[in-house]
Amino acid sequence: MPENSKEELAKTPERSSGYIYIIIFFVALALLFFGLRNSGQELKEIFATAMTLCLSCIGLGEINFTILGWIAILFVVFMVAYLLFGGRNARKIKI
Amino acid sequence: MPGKSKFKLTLVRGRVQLFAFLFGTGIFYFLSTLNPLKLKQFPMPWLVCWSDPLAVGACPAGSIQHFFNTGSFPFFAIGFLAIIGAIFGRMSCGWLCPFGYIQDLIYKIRESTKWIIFTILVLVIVYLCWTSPVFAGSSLRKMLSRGQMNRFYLWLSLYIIIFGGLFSLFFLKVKKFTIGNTLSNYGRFFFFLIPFILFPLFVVDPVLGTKAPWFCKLCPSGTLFAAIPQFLINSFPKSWFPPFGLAVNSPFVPYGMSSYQDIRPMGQIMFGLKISMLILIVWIFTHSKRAFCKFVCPIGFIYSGFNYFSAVRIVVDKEICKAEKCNVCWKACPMDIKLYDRGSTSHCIGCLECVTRCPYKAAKIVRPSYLNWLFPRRSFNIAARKQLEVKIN
Repeated sequence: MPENSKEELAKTPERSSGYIYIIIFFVALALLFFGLRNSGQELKEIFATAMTLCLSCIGLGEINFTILGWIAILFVVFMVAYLLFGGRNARKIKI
Repeated sequence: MPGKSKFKLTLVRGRVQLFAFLFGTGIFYFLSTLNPLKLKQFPMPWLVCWSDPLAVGACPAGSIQHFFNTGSFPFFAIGFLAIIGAIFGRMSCGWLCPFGYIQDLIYKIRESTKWIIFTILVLVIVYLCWTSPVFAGSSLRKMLSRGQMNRFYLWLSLYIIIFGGLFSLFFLKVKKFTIGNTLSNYGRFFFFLIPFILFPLFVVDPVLGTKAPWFCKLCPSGTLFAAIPQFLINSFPKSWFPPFGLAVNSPFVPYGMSSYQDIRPMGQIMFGLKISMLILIVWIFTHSKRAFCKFVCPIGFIYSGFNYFSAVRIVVDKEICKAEKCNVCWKACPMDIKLYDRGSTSHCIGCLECVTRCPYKAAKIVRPSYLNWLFPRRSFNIAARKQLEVKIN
């Protein structure tokens, strides 16, 4: 490759971050402050929940197998949908 | 020297991940309840279970599901994740997430030393079966102390079959595999939509009589960071541990620092299923890079949408990129993605390994000029590129 084209490649202009992230940032900031309304009620609720041991997280208590079965069935449906509509990648699962 | 910069970035990222791991799930736990900050009221920007006895903050996935359960919108949690996402995209997955760090570690560990993970897991499972009912209804220890020898041998054999079967996966000679972008899109969309959004919003758990965080019931991060430590901690008297912050409390006492109940006898079928899933997923981690992040994580899914327009993100210059001929980025990527592939943008965790290693400088960081101090411009690596061009030709 000629030396001058290397330099050209090295000088390729940097892409700008655009402006969408600024809009999203301010929307997110608004959501955050909205969550803090009523003197941080949402934070208090998160703190109260976080300080209670989450039975689901650590697998305590009983589980309803009907609902778990529904989740499993829906998962199979999604995977079948992948096999049907996943395109060329569906035939290329490398395991 | 190209090798030096590669090493430096990997080392820096490793240290940042280790610090975030220690901060999120370790030595700073006392900050969780310490006034005025009380960090446990804030969702963290990564996935870590808030029932982890050492968790410094709240779990974002748990917080969001909790508000869906109560029929309200999680403004703060979503707003917080969106702010992080708008600036850094999915970078917190690559640099901060403790569960991501664990996955990186398990995958990186050498074949010859994988027996360490295997042995630790086996010892933990044996201990759990000894002290908790798991699938049996009562613990093996209890059966033995009550003299129920037939029942003891029956369940001991069943445990050997169930867990031994799962552990035997580690002895199979299976090649390392890649979960394709399309497959992982279907997987994470399922886990985001069904157990994370729709079920917590609409499905009442008949056992509890209320709506439940269904994703948490499946989450391996909860099993690893919360369930196992909680069960191990319960083996020791509470007086051994510092009183503040450490969540070794009764599940039935809200804010329950005052009460303590041994939770080990309560680990039943659901607990057995969770530890079985953990064994399976640890095996997958040893064979596939960040399989959970790619296929399951709902927080990663939320962040991934921001990857298309965030202030800091990685883009690939397709005119310069040699794609399949080079694949340096793919080999270096902890998410196992080909940066030049269509559809890989949302999977990128912004670890910057590809940016540092790309000999053609085709992978670039896009960032606003005011963040240049954080992501300095990199000089063109002509020497490494020459070497690669010779190799390719």
